[in-house]
Amino acid sequence: MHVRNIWFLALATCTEGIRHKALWAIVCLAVLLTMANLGVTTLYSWDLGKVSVEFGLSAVAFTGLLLVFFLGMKILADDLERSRIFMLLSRPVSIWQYLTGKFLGLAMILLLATIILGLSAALSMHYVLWKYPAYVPPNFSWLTYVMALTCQWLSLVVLLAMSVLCFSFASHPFVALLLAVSSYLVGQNMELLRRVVVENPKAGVLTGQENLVVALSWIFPNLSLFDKKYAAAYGMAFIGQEFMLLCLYSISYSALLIYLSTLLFKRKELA
Amino acid sequence: MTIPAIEIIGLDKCFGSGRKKNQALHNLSLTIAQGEVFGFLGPNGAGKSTTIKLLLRFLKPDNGSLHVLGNTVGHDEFRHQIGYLSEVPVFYDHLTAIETLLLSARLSGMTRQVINQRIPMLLERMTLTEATNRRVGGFSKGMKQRLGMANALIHDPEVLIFDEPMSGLDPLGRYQIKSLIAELKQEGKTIFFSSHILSDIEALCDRIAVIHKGVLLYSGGLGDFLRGGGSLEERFVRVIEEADHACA
Amino acid sequence: MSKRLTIHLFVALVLIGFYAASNNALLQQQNTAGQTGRSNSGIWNLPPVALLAVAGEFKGLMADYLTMEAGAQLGTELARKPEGGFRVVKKQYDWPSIHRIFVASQTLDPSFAQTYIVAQGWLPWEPANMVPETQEIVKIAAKNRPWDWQPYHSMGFNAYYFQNRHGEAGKLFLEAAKIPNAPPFLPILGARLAQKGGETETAIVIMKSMLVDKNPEEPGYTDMVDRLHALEGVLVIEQAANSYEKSTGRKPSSLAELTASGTLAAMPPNPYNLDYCMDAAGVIYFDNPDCQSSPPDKSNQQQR
Repeated sequence: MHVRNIWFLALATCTEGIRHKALWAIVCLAVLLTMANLGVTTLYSWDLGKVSVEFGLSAVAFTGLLLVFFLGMKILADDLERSRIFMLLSRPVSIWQYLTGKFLGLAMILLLATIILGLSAALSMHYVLWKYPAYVPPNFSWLTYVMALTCQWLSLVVLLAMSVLCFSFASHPFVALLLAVSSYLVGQNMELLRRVVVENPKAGVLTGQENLVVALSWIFPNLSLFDKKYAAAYGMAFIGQEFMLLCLYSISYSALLIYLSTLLFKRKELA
Repeated sequence: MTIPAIEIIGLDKCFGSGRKKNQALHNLSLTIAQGEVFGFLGPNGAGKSTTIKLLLRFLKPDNGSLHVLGNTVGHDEFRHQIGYLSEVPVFYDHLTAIETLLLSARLSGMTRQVINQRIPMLLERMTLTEATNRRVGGFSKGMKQRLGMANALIHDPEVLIFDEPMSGLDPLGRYQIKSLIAELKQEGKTIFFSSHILSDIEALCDRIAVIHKGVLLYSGGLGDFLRGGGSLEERFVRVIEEADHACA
Repeated sequence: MSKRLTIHLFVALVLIGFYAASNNALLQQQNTAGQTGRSNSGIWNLPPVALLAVAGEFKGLMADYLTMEAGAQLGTELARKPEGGFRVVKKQYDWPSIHRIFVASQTLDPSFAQTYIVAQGWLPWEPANMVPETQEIVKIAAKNRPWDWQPYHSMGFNAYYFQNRHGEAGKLFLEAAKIPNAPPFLPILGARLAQKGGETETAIVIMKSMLVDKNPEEPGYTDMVDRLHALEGVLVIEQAANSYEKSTGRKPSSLAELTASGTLAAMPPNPYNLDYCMDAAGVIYFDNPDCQSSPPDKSNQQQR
């Protein structure tokens, strides 16, 4: 029954999101952006293959961020602000089923967008790589590209879970958005910060605060781990074991965040 | 002795803190028997919607307890036994009418077979058949109200809780909802609804409760309330004014 | 035309006029501010850690942009002639800032080929004269492009041509030769330089290998072609001297002996318009016509 409820909620959220005009506006713009790849690569004289791959994957990443921060948070916020949540919680649906269902529905929307954009980017990349074979990275692999795309989606899923957590305790949707964006920026640079503090004896105000920074690096998601554009662009090795570990990290961390969200959301007054 | 459909005991609810503290409900106690139509009336801001939201566990009480068909709200699962219509029914704009009802039915644990029977029946009953596959975002207020009613009835609950079901409707819409409530009463459903439209209360209710500024002023039979003479409106205004003078 | 439409058109024209005038004035102002204004205000001036933080997951994209920015700052500026057509304007380059752009781009993406190739094409040459800085950039590229022989090749060229460190150049060419798909001339080059022997032929091979990928519009192209022709002239004279020694049993005492004996039909042309000279040890110079009277300045082998 629990799983069924989560699935129904996820399906309804996905349907609602897919029919949202904002989603298609963002996706259409992103498709145009990936097509612009064809023009952008001609501005360069070397490593056209890497430019093409990186541009395509960056377009997917940027679009995903727009979808998480604007569409995803809007769908969550509308449920509360417009009291749509009452329609669901007046049924035998628990808070954790509601949040999990919403999260999975939004993750499905992100997956759909990633697939569409990934295919669009792949088309333009394929053309560039076909037209300029001398500039194809030596070990370029479509499998690595697909794995990098998957990692991109996993990173967005973690970010989405973080957004759900922020939404579950923030007093206003805009505050939740700010917190989510801040978490993204911290997550992208946490590894950098950790390296700077641990390896550099003169790290400004953070000198001697290695333990604090290491603790923070465990609390905030390490989103830079999911950034495999470099590997895909240069045909670097990306082993299956690392990929599986990233999947496990993403799923477990997201589940943990949703669990925390449930605990916090239960304390919220919904009216 | 049959279990009451709804039982509220010593309910307190406060919003805000410090200087902005607002005592929305104070020691509210109500009992609604099974099969009766119970009107919950009071002026705007009296605490009617707050009471309903506490009943549905959208809010948590500061003190007191609520029970629905013997199930304690906040401890036992009871939502499969109630149907709720909010003051302003809000749905997912991009889902169609049938998709909305399907979602509610599935979440209520109904089987596919039963769903396939009830959805067309309810859509017809609410005169929404032509709008079955239209997205709810394009519905008028009356259509949304009727869809909300269908949504509340989809799983054939024993207890129905309506928060100002006639508000904002045109005369035809109000007539349709009133007729429906009368039909549901004939079917033996318990209906607890809040309203500040006294003529509707007078036409439909067996028993009423009057609430003002979070305090219960009267709970009992409609006839007993009117015993002092005058119309329901006159009696209601008098009760409110007496309460205001007592507070002053 | 109705009065209302006239008013609307008038208001629209006035607004468009103000917009066009202000936009034009701003563009003019930007153009007169020139490169200095541009190159001092860019994101490339951030410290590396800050740059990495700002770029986030878009490091590659930002590196691509920065390389494009460097290319734009290095590009040719054209000015319209009153009589029609365009003339090339000699630009004032802010070399330290351009160098910072390359470094910033490499901080974000150390493997990007365009960064080191464009840096190699501009920085070590006149007027930039940033050879050590170029070596550092190309070294990072070499480390991060293990599949690419060209960074080591470029480093080898710089060590040979600019820094006069033939031994080091040889080692670098040998490093380049180890990389799969490296051209077969590299190990020979490396060995020759490492042994410091057969310099003229080695130098000709190096020059030719560097000219393959060089654009005629890039700086240093004409210099390298002149140098190549001068070295080819030296090689012709060296080969004639070896032939003279074989036939007569002794080295020629002057270049005039080679032409007088018929071993050399005529002196090869010197692109620097100087006489070739042979010193007492038999070393041929293309840039030191008084080599017999004064010792050669080995510290300044770089051409004018």
